[in-house]
Amino acid sequence: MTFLEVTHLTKVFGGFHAVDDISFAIERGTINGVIGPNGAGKTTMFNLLTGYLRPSAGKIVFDGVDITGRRPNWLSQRGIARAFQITSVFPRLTVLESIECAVNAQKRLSGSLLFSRRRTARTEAAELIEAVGLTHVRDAPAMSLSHGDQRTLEVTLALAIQPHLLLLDEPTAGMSPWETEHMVELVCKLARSHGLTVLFCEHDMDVVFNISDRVIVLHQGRVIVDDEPGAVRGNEMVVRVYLGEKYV
Amino acid sequence: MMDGRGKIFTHGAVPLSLASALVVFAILGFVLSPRWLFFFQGVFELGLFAVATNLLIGYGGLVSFGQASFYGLGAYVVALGWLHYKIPFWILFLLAPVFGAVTALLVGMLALRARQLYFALLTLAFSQLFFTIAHQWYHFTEGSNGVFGAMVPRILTAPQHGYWFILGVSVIAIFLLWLVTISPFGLTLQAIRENRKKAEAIGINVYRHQLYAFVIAGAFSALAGALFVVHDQSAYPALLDWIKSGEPILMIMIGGIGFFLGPLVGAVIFQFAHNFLIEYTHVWELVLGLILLVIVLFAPDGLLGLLDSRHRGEVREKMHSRLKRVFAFRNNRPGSKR
Repeated sequence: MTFLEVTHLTKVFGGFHAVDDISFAIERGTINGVIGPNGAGKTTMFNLLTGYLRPSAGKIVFDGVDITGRRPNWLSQRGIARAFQITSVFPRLTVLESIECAVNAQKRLSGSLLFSRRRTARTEAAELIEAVGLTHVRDAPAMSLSHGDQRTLEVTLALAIQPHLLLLDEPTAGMSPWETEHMVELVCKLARSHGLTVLFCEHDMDVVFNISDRVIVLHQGRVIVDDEPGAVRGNEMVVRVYLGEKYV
Repeated sequence: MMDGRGKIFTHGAVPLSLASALVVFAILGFVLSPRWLFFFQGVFELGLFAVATNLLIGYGGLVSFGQASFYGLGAYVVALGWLHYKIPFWILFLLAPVFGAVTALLVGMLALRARQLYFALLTLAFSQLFFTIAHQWYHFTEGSNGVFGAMVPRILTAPQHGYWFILGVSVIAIFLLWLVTISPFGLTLQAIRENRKKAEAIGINVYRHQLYAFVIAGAFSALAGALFVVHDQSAYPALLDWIKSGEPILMIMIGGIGFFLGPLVGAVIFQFAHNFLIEYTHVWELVLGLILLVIVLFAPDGLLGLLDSRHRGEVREKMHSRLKRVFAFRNNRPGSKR
């Protein structure tokens, strides 16, 4: 069953087609990898899907609802979560406070003036922190965390809103191999146990081909291949895009 | 880190400080001379104004340069309601924060469409608009003369009674504001300050929550303005002026922007400068300016920041390096991280 359907999505920045007529569909409960060389339009596509940019043309349908041009917080409330490529946390809030804030937002308690409301959110946040292995930095301000922990916090913030669709823009950027492995395991485990649909982009090919049910290859703003990992790996066009003509 | 960035006044410390201040100052009411009673009336009422403003500046990261609009409005609601409509004081006193909230809603709906400097300039523009109305609409507001008279019931005009009344209302109001800062909403507000984009990503409607904060700050600023009328028994255009909007910002900077009670400390120092320096020099604002300059350069976290025991070593180090930097005439680039 199609969960997210993108048709003829286009974004033009003053004449430059960053995303050029992209169409694809994603099934519920699958993990989908997006790869492509630098400048292929991956981040722009993520910005379009999460409402940070308005498409120049095209349509995005999520779970049967047209969500084209909706604001990020609207999309978030309806179950589309996103982790940014460049780590984006709340520097002076502690890990617990940050997650609590996301839990509140998900429960629509962000505007509540009752202190007592914090208890339940706090418990839930603490459980999530334990599940992702951030307990050791629970009460530390986010800015004091190591890069790897900040990346984990980034993904945890996305998970805290209990999304149906999780969009991860290079979740393992700048991570050590050990941290990468940990993160990949975490995402897979949570995705499978919660029945999440995941769309992620990544430079680490091992990660992409290991965990994806499907791989979409972008190049110069277009989808050039959209297939199972095995088929993509052997695809002549993909090799050409990544390595150049002589390796074909 | 529950209250802003402050670490010494963590949970429990704020209500405890407020309760002890309430008791101590209530008792002091019996012994203080009228002069000091008036002094502290001013401290309480300005302190409330500054704490309310810090909900925007410290917690929300929203630098409003127009909080005097609401402060002055609160004073004018009481004064004009008495002058033109003979409405009883107590009703007007309760109406003041309502007017403050409604006006803040309207102003905020427009001003919050802009960000940062543009937001500050819009709030400034609105406050000047209110100032001009109070100044020019002579037959309704009495213009630059302001409104004077027996608008406060006799029971409150005795310095002692006025003192207790202002003390009680201010402490309760400040306590309510503290409850706001520790609520889920208070946390949301800080998250927006820290990272607006991320706040949106986790599903927070940034505009709406900033508007809530603006309305709450407006209501409590208006309440402070109504308390001013009890203190001074008058309302005049200078209460709406941009200079008045700057006062709570001064107090916040002096006391410590990251501390819930910081603005109160700032209010004591401000009021002291205002009431006592003025006897020795008519350029008291210059002296206050120098105090502020020293604080901004050497203790950017304010006076409470210096007291923060966990950071004392760090503060000393910082001050040393700052002293060196300042006297080496090496410029602090604007916008550079401290």
